[in-house]
Amino acid sequence: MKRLAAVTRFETNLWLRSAGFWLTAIVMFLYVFGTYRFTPLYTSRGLGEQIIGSGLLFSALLMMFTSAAAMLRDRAERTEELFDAFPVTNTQLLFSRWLGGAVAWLLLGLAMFIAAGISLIGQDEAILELWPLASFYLSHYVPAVLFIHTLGMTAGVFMPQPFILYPVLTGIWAGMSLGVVELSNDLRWEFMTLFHLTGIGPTQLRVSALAGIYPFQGYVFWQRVFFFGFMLVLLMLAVVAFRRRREYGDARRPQRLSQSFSGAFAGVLLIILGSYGYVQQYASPIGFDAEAAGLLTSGITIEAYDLAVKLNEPGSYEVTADLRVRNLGEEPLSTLGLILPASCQLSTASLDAFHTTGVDVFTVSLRAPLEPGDTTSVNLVYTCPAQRQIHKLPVPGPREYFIDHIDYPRAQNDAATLARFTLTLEAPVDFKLASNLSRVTEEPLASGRVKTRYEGEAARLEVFGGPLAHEVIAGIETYYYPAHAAAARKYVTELADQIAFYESWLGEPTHVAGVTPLPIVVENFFIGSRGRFPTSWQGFLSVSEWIMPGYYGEVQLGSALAFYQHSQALSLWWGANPLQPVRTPFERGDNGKPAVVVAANQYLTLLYASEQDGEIWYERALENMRNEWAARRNATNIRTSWSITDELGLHTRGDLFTAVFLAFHDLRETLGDDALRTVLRALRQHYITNALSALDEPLPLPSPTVLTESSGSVRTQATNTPSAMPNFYPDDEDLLFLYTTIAALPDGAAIAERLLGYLPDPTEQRLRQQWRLVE
Amino acid sequence: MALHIQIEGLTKRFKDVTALDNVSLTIEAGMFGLLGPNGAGKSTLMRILATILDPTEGKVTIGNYQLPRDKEPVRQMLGYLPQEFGLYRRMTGRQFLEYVAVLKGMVDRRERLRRVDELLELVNLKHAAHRRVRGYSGGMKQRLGIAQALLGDPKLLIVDEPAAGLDPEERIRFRNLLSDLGRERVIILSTHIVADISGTCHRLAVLRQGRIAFHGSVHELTRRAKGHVWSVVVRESEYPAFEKNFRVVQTRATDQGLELRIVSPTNPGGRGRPAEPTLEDAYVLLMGGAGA
Repeated sequence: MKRLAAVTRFETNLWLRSAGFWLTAIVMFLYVFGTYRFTPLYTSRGLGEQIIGSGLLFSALLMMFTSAAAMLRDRAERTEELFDAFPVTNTQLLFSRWLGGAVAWLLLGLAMFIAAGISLIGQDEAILELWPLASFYLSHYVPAVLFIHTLGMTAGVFMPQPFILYPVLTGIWAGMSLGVVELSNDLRWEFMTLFHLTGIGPTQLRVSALAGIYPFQGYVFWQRVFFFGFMLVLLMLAVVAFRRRREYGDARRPQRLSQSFSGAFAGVLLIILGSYGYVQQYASPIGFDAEAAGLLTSGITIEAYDLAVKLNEPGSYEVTADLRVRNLGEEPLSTLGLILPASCQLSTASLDAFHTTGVDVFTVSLRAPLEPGDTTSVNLVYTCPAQRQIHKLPVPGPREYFIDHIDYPRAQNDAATLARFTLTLEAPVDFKLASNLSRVTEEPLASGRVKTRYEGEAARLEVFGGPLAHEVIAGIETYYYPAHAAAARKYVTELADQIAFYESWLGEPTHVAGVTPLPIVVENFFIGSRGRFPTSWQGFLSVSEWIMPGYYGEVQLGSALAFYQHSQALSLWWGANPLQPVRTPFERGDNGKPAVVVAANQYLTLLYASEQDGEIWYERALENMRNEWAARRNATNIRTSWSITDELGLHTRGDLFTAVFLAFHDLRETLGDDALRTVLRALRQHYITNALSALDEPLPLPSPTVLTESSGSVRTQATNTPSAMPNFYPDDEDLLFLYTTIAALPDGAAIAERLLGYLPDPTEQRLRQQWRLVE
Repeated sequence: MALHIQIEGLTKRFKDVTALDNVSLTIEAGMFGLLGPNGAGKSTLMRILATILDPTEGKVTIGNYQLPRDKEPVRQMLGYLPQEFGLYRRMTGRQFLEYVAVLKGMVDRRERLRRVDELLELVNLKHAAHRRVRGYSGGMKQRLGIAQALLGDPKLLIVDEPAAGLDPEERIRFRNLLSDLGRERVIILSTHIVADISGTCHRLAVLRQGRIAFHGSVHELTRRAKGHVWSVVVRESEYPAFEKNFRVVQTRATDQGLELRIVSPTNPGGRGRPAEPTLEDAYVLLMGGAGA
């Protein structure tokens, strides 16, 4: 052991003098510190995740190259014959080299974590937590790097020819990073993330346990077992093969084959164990699958809920639920299959209900059959877990937890109907709650807790809560993580400014339940990658911390990020989020993204950016749009695909966006701001009206409006026979509305014609033909 | 007890090529020379003794150990300097020696540093100890190679063409060093430069085409040439004829003409004066280069 330690010291010395090591270090530092700014809203967890997820992933290739090159060192330096005569075993030689590399790479990671920690300390309000950083380092960086290092070294042992070695390693790296992500995403082979090189593929990132707590649960833990076994096998293979291929002789170095094979055998066992555990994580997850669907009772609805929720510490809530269920079918029912996540435990008080293992469905046995048209009351008591670990936040205290929703029983089609909710929430006094229901009463309890009662109708119940700060900022109720006070205040103040600007164009906002959110802003830490766009369907505005000021530093007007922020103002009260418009329970058109409304709001956002930061934004956008139009006028169909990656954060990709933008520009230039204001208000009203009608009429089909034209005047006529017009595009209706609204303005007919003219010729012809069909 | 090496019936074949053919040798403590032309099998024999190669047939006994069975204990007492070798260029001379010392099992740091310093002094590299090896000249590298072979106080030192690349002064210094070391261990010196052996070795073996052509003392081999070495003074015009008909091992210009040293069983042209044979003369005679 003493000799091994001494040799390792020299090996480490050699590693630290190698060009590959320093190149890797430079790339890693550049990638982490050049790409990301560690601003006050960054947590130590986010920082650790950044280093491993981004910094390490791209450096891993160089790391593998360097580790492989270390195995070619003797050949390159012509020391093989010299070393072959030394009284050292194969295992000692290879293992010391492995250890030397491991020490070097681990020192590099340590330097990276320390540098990142120091950069975080440099931020005014940042919270630096040593434990999460240490945990990330020890439990993520260390095992990932040791595996990468071993993989590279083993490849170097088996492939001494550089022209084969390096391409093969590049292939392995690509396959084990980008490849497995693609396979798991595109082909839905989620278990492929088991092979992710750094062990934090997309699935693992979703595991809250990743947030710096060790040992890990689930996926990450089993992946570590798998990779440890894999590493062991590779190391043993490398030891056995290391000195077999010799240039100068055939007298092999003494081997400890039995030890090597024992190690490899243990490795294989760990691989099997890790794979099994990992796959089990997919086999047992809780989900709404085909089996669950088969257990559900169709033809029922839950009309009313009375939910008494009591938050328990640490991190769970107990629900006493009283549901009024109506049989909408034609047969009497003796059991009811309802949806409730399997993570919720039905208590023994719910004698007639039971969960099917691992499925998000529970079954209730009714004491008497439920006749068609009748209602019955179902009473349940169950407990569900709250969120304890949120990697975007500092490590919670022992009594800290969050809820981003309350699980409650639902029937198969209840997403499409409004239900009456009565919700009573008992929580600690410092636990702040926001909901899409109206708060009715608040009753302090002797235990230092508060019981709050909410009531209202909603298609779904939304509740968010935690140890948050609550503050009314510029007239907007705001809930935020206390450490983010400065960012939250700045953000909401800016939001209020935007709202004031939009009010001058769109008029007074009106809250429409289920369509527009309440003027409540919640800093929501549960918004994952799918929730990157501002959403309003929750009934309050959920804001991820990453769009708040301070996360990326100062936000530049006109940037994509600014565009996200501006869109929130629209979604807040006018119900027309440009990126992800109001989600009614019944999404319409192109996944609920009516492009005409989006384009109109985009134009409005640009006006806001121009007002704040000068006309330069407008001029550049106009030039872009004109270029787009010139380039795309001969396209065959309306294209509504768009991207937020444009320089100006505008959706210049899409014929419809271009046409609307240019028509609005002409309108403003020709008829003035008032004319544009009239059109925008009408369009907003039209959109909300449609959304409201959708609420009244479940699962509606698009209701195309058909135009007739006579003597230059325009009139419209509605029809409810969409099947007669199979080629009617979802956005055509909104386009027609816009056309008629502009045409109805004094001197507006010419501008309306230009709107059509800005569309590609085939689209224009198709629309003119369709709109004349009823003539 | 002094180390003793016994080689019996050693054969090494590489596919169709027989590099060593039924070689038997006994090597006692002291300096032992291995002579032979290129391709005679010297390096193959050295590599077998240095545990780099396994013999195809035969038996090698080093002290109480047998090769190829007991490589590990043999390596424990071995110092080896191959004919061609590399060094870690990123390390300094001192670091490299320390590294090798550790690989050879010198785990006591103080003792290791002391020994490294001694060797650096011995091979005249103390002044360059902290320079990286990549900046060393060929001779310096060779001296560092010698130093690494001496690490661990080996009982068996195998050096293959060790003087290659050394300047005359270093060469002499190295010969003296080997002579000193040879008093208490076995040193096998392989070379095709006869002078290196004549000045240092007491016993030697000559290899020719993988077989032992001679095995014995330097004196014995030299004595074999007695009566076969001649000194002849010729005119310059006569030189081509002598060179064609006899094995001329040395030519020296004198006032009387060219003085030639010739190895020949007979008096060359009847004009030769018997000369005292050297090892080189004997080697030439042995290898069949004596001419007519």
